[in-house]
Amino acid sequence: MQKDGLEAIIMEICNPIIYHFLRSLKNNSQTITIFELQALFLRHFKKMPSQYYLFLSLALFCIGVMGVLMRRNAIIILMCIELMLNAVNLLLVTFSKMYNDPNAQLFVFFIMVVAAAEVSIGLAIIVMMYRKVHSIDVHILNRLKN
Amino acid sequence: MNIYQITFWILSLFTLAFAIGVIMSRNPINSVLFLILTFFCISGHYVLMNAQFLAIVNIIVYAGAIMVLFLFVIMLMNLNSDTEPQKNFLVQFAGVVSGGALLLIMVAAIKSSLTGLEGKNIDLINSTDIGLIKNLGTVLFTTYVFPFEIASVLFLSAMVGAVVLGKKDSALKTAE
Amino acid sequence: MNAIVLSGIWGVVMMFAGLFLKSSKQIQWTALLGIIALLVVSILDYQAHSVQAQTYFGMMTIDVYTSWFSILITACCAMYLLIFHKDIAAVGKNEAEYFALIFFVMCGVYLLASYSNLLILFLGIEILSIPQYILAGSDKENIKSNEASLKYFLMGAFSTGLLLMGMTLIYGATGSFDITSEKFVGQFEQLSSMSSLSFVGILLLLISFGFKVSAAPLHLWTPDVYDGSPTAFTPFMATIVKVSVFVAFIRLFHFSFGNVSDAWQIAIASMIVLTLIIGNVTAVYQQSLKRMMAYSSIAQAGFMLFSIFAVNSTLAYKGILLYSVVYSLASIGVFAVIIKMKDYTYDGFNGLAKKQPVLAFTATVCLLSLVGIPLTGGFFAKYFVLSAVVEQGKYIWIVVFAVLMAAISAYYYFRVIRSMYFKTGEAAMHTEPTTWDKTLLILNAMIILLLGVLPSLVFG
Repeated sequence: MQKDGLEAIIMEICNPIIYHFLRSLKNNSQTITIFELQALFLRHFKKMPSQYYLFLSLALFCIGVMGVLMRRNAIIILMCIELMLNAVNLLLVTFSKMYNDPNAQLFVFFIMVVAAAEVSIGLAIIVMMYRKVHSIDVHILNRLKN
Repeated sequence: MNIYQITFWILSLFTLAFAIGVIMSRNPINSVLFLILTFFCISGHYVLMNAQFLAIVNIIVYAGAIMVLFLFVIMLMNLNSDTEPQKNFLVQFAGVVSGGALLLIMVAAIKSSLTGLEGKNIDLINSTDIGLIKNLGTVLFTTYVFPFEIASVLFLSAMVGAVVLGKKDSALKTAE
Repeated sequence: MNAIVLSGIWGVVMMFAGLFLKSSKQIQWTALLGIIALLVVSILDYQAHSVQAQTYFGMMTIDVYTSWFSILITACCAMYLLIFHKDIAAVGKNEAEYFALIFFVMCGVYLLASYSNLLILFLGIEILSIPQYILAGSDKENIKSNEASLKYFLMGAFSTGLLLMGMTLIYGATGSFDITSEKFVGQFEQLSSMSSLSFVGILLLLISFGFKVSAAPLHLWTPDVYDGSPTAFTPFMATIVKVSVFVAFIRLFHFSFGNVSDAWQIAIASMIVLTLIIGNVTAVYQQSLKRMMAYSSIAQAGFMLFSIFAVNSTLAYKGILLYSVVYSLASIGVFAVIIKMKDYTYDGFNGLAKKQPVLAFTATVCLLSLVGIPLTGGFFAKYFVLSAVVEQGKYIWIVVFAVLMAAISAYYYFRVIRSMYFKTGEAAMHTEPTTWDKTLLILNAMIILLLGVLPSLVFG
């Protein structure tokens, strides 16, 4: 049984109702058997392919990399690095669910700890720089070279 | 499609859109707000994967603490207008191309032979409760007690550093 | 293990010393006491672990090799602190905090020497890096120091992101962070069964590693950061920190990824070639000795990369141990002379041999060791890492290339010696060296010469 579009969405959302409805009509039904429905139910309702999350977090990671390469504002570069770390976190949680392993979720915890420390240092450095040159443009770093 | 997949697609769409907003918006304040929205979307993904503890911590630590710190610094520097000079078009284009190429290469390399992930699905509903505070706490304070203690050294050095860098020397001179 | 605890605790002690001890001399003595205590404790650790290896929940594996490296690196750090303690205190107002940060870095060094879990590798690298960002920017009045700090921070944070992505992909392929676990080892048994996830992961780890040890083409931050940082901290960053990152990654790449070396050896080979060319050729054109030493540290990293390149050879381990000690001591010796000078250019060194014969002599020994002249430790260091590659039998042409590059490096090192001995000038000093300084520098030079005769001393 394959249904697409809105019909499928409605069917999936109201799955239990349709389920019972179909069950009552079991004998009349020609195309749908309960087993087929259950198979569909199990395949789509409970599981989620982990590749989706893998590609989502890779895309997020690369957006972060792009931001680091594109922007000149040091604070926004720092924010893009945070975005990269969050992509990593998302992927770790995905793998943690995939392997059913709490270690990865604790790794995420430690990444958050380190990110907090890193941001505090980074902002301290940026503020120190700003006091001196009144700019947080990273291009000024090249101008200062001898 | 079912309601979980629909939620996943909508959340993913919003996550990517907000992330692009972070790197495209010219005003730093907008960037910060977009980043906070991205974090909320990522927290939504965590809830979807039954990792409630991380979802809450993500909101409290990232969106609550770290991003407010960013906002403070931006306000402090009075950067709330479009003061940032733009990189020239070529450099921006090169950034986009290299980031996109990185994505393309990674996706192509991983997709070409998904030996590790093939057929591995994430159990979204009937998942176990490893992401709950009780389980994570047990593991954290048994197996991970050593890194937990070591992280204190990291924080200590970050604290010392922030004070050393942030303190104004001229203020010290007048005090002496 | 005790060394890790003590280095953390002594950092706190230094912070309290800054609060309660009024004179700068007392603070310096506290720091020296701390590093001596650390040396003693790491020797005791070595004796304790020589019987059997110790593990902590699969996080750390402390055995005889790791604790021996801890002793060596602590000894190098002790030499650094003994020579530079006055200059560190002179950098700024917060001298106690600088010493505290150095002790925190040592904590990270011990973690990197003995980790057996990717989480500890990550935490170790962060504990290593964060104090360095601060030390680079500690001269707050100097704008070049601020610039060095910001540049170092942005590059370091970016490479941390790449490192984490690499670790995550490797976790996705293996299902474990513990590099000694069966799942982890099984994944990297042979190339054909390796998942593409771990392939990408290894490459990302390699890039991030290149950032940390300043291997070309990821070296661009190095000259500015080493040049801009206060001269008292540059030798610390260029030697002790860089060497311990090398040891950490050798641990990962040899023990875990050794069987799949075909996947990453070509990347390392191209890194070596680029690093040697860029480091050596650019160093020739430098006018400032401090900047020249920054490029020289890139070039030396190229030689140290050979020890990663030669997989599973005992010569490579011996080579990296000897190279770390000799390179650290030689660089510390050269920087100890540079920091005494007023003018960092070559011309500033004219006539140093007449004015300060001891300084000129020790600097000459250190520079000869960096070139790799026989009878200095540098010769055997280079010999061991290169012969490890020859023994492996692949890519012999790189060895020939490296020898050529070592010849180029002789040009800019000998230029310093020529300035000191064969040119006339007044060689203006910033601070006059005391007898104590001279004794230490001679001791340093003697160790380098001794290692040139008896290199087996560092093999444990």
